[in-house]
Amino acid sequence: MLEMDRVTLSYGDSGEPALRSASLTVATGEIVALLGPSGSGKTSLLRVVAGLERPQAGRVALDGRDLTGVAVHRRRIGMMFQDYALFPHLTVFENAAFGLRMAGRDRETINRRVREVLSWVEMEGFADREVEGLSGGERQRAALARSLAPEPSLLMLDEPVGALDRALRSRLIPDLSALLRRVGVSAIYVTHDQDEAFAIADRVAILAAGRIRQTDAPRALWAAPADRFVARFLGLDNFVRLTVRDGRATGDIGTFPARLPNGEHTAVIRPEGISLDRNGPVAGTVETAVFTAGRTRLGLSCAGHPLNFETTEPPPLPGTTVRITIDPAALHILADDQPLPDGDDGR
Amino acid sequence: MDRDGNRLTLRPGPLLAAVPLLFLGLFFLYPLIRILVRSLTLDGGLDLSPFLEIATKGSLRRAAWFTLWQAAASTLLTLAFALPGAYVIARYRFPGRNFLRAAVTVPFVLPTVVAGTAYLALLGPGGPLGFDLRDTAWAILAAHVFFNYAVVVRIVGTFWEMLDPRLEEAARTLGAGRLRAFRTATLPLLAPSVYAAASIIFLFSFTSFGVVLILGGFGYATLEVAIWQEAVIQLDLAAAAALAVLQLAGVGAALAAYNRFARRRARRLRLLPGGTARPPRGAAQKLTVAVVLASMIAYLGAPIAVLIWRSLSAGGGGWGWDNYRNLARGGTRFVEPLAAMGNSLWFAAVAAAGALLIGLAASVVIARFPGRLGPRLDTLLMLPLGASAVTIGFGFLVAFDRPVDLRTSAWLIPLAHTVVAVPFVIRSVVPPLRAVRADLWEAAATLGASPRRVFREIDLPVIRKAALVGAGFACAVSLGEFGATAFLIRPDRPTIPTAIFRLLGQPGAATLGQAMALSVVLMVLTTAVIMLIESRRAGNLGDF
Repeated sequence: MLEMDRVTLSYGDSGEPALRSASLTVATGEIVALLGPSGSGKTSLLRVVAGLERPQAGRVALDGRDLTGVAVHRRRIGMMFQDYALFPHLTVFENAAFGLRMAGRDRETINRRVREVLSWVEMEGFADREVEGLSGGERQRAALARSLAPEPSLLMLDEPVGALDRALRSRLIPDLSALLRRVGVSAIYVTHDQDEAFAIADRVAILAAGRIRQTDAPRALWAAPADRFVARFLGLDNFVRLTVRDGRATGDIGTFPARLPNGEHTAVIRPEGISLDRNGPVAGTVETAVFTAGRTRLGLSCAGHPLNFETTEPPPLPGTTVRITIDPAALHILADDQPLPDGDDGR
Repeated sequence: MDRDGNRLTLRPGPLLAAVPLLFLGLFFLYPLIRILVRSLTLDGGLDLSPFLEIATKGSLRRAAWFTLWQAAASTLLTLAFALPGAYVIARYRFPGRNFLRAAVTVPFVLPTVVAGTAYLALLGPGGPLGFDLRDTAWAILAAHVFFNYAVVVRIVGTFWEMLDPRLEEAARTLGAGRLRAFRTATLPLLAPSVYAAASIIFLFSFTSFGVVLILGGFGYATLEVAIWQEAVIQLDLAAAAALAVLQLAGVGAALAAYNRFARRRARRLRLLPGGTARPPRGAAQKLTVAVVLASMIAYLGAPIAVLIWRSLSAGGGGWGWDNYRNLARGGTRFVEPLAAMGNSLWFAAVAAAGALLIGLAASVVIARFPGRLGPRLDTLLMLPLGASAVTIGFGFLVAFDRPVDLRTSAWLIPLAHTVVAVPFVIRSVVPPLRAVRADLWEAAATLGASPRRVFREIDLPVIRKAALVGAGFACAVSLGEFGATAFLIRPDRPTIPTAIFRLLGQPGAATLGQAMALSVVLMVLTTAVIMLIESRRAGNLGDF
């Protein structure tokens, strides 16, 4: 179990801190995705945990043992680097054996274990290959094998599929998720892609400008983003100001039923709760209609206010006026607006 | 952030920096200073008469003028001959292209004595072309073009190959004709690399020694040759020192020019590292490629082929190993070829070991020492490369007479070779050492390697491979070294190049044949070492 408690890190004297009082726990066997835009401090957090950076404040403990002052090579924390950092002068086998050799294992143990981890990533046939000649996907798997071989207490993966093309990525992620669960290793998985984070993690931590904004299971996060930033970063952008009175909401887009407490709110409408309905209470003009894989993404203007959702029905033409229904359960009140980090407005 | 407390690999201490600095100071800067002092003073007082002598003495004035104009002419001629070759190799794909590109560099790595002898075989008395250009400027110019062809192919050609051809295509679509598109889109980008190559060729021709000494006779001497004549034949060290100072000024100017162009060449351009070559299309292109390649192969191949052929010709128009047999039997009364081979191999081994020792220490400091020391040392240790071997040999001659007279020591020649070879080790080792990225150290550390272990596992394998390449270069340089050796050699302890030179100085067809045979031996030795290096290095290791 990893406990990171209020860690602050600045590089040199210049500029903003890379991490501001960031806290995170990873339970044994749990996979936590660290999700944030580029420059939000994801890699910095990993480097602090690995011991490659020394934070100015805060503490990191692994299985109850304080890691402050413990050198990188004694932490037993595996790391899979963004560009893999495979040793170019060693073969695939030798790369995977490196950590076991450092741990002083005997030759037979090393052979057995390397063969095992290479079989996990389906690279047995590549053992004697130079890393120079490997394809992107093969490098990725070799690096994964290398980081798993010495049985780390915690595995950290820094954008492990970020360097691969989209098709390969979507094929690899389920495999990766299954492998990590089968091995049962605790893991921190860094990514800037929310689909990837949702697909692989037990919990997702949203990082912005060096702060952890929210940590929750993927479904809970989607259902209840804490604030505007988190919502926007997840791709939820139907923000509305509402006044609710006795189950009816009146706001910038019109009046419609809502199961919310009386009062004034800022809320977000999840797009799956919006549907075309000839008798719906809200009217809007179609601004954009973009066809994507079996669905159409519609952009409406409701009384001058933008609203986005998807439909599987034959899409109306841009410029036409349509009516919609809003599922009361798809409304979620956001906490009082926290100031957005400077220049960092989701994606 | 405290990086030092988080050290991931070993770092060099200041003691390591002292090794190359001391070596450079003692065996390069100190001799240079002694040359300067020798040229300016006599018995403790200021004396400018050596410089006056240069200005008034006809032969020295002629040497200075010849040095300048032949360097300029060699540069222009080389560009005229080699640019079409560079273009064809850069832009067209054809069978044997990679082999040809490697083969073009063979003349460049040949020892100057071998190149000189080869041109003597081709254009000298008894040559197959039927005319004798020995003791003319033409033979010298032809040899310089032969020698420097590779510079153009390497510097301009490599750049040309990566230059995006779409720039020219864009110019075409905007209405420029073929020639105009080249002039407006390609040439301006290419020009800095052409100038850089020109400065290098100028520098090499300006400091040409062995080739001029062999082909120029007494009629044509460069400053380098004049330094040697004054110092070794006339024993006028003051005049030689003054010439050396003059020569250094010229070298400095050429190097400064090169640096300017090299920097401009580094301008941000969208280069295509994969190259842009494609097969020639249509009769006109195929003809162009064929003609250029044929003339290139003829020009670069002829001297070497003729050298080998004439080394194998026996008396009376027949063929045979007579020349080689004579070499093995002990050559002439004045030259012992077998002893020369033994000495050369021994010197090469010592020089390679010395260059490795100094070069490795220097490389680690250059690549890893924090702060400004590294880059400064880098510049400093490259100086011997520009200062010409003749200056180094002459410097040794002037500097090491007192307090202990080292000039008769057997170590002096390998020491001079070491000075010349150190830059080659550094240029081989520093780039791969710098290329070991911090993330590899970090990966090793997260896998449980201590700083000592990281150095052993990650840095050392890289150093080992590069050091081997550097040592090979040092061997090749030492084997063919003639400029410095000519000043320090003693008749009873010849090297292969000085033995060739002495054989050429003897009258008679028999010794000429032996000189050619010995040149072939040296050529085979050097190319064997170079090929061994080429086969050993993986990808883009080093700067050469």
